[in-house]
Amino acid sequence: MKTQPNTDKLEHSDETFYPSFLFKEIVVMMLIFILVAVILALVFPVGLEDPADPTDNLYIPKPEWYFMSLYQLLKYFPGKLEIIATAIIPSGGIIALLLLPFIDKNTEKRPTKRPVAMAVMFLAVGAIIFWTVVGILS
Amino acid sequence: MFKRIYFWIDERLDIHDYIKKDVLDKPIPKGLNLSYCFGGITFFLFLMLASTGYFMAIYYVPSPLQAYDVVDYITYEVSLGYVIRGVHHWSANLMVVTIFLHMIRVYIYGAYKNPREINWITGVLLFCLVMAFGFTGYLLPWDQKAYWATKVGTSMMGTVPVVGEYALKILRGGTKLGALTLARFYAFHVIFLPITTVILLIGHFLMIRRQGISKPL
Repeated sequence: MKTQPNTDKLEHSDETFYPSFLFKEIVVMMLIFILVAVILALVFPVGLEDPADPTDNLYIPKPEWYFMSLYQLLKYFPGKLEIIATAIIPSGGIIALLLLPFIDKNTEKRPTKRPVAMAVMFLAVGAIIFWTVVGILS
Repeated sequence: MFKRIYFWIDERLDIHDYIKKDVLDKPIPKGLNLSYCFGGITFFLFLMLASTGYFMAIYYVPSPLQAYDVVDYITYEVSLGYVIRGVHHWSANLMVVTIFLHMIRVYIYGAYKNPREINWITGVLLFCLVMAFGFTGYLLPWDQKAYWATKVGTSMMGTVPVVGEYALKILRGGTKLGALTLARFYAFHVIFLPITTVILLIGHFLMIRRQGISKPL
């Protein structure tokens, strides 16, 4: 049995994709282009370190900043507990994200009416930012 | 001039009605703020990454003997090479930020809820692809930073019980980080990941077209 599809499709609205939203997007994209191509690429050119030397045991590895929170997490789970940081938390996080629409079945969309969902998000985002900063500074 | 070209194409393909009805005149909710642009920015950065990536792929050789010299050559010898590499580097970093912000926006506005569950899932997969792009791309310059970060990153994979050892071998192309690792990271970075990304992106966009942008609150 096919039920009526649940969409909140808008059939009538004063605004259309063109010009209002497309215009906004194009302006923002041009700003991003200027930021990346002109400011960042020219003012902060990307260099190179020394060639890779697999025999150099003194080199202290540092992951890229977006993996820093995971790397920092690793320090809290030494030895046998390591797998909590290397496997359980990251894969658990991705699985939780994938299943999110099925975990959170609350139809309410307004954030002020979803205190639990908001608390979970702020906690998770806060933790990621915190560990990233701690990792970069350490 | 452009109009004539457009009409010439339209005469043959009959696309005008489609573009007008389904793209340009597509109704969108009122009051979309700038946070609705994060997804579009992420896509734009993907295009910048792809186009700068093409140019670097012209020179790049995924071999430990040559990779470093080639990246050095791109950076210091090729005219505007440092700009191409700089744009690639900064777009990649910015993309991680914008996809993160896009996900937070979708989360806060509850846009992942019924009926958009499938689109949320493709979005999460795209996020994983972005991280995989970052991880594989980081090794390619084959400098100290690249080598050791990848060494640590891949060895983390090895700690996973049961499958870890195999995953590590698959990832590195053996037990050691070396020529095979570089070759497969490169293939992953320039073939597997981009194609998968494009396929998921098409799905992501078609679903937005079909379902419309989630109403603001």
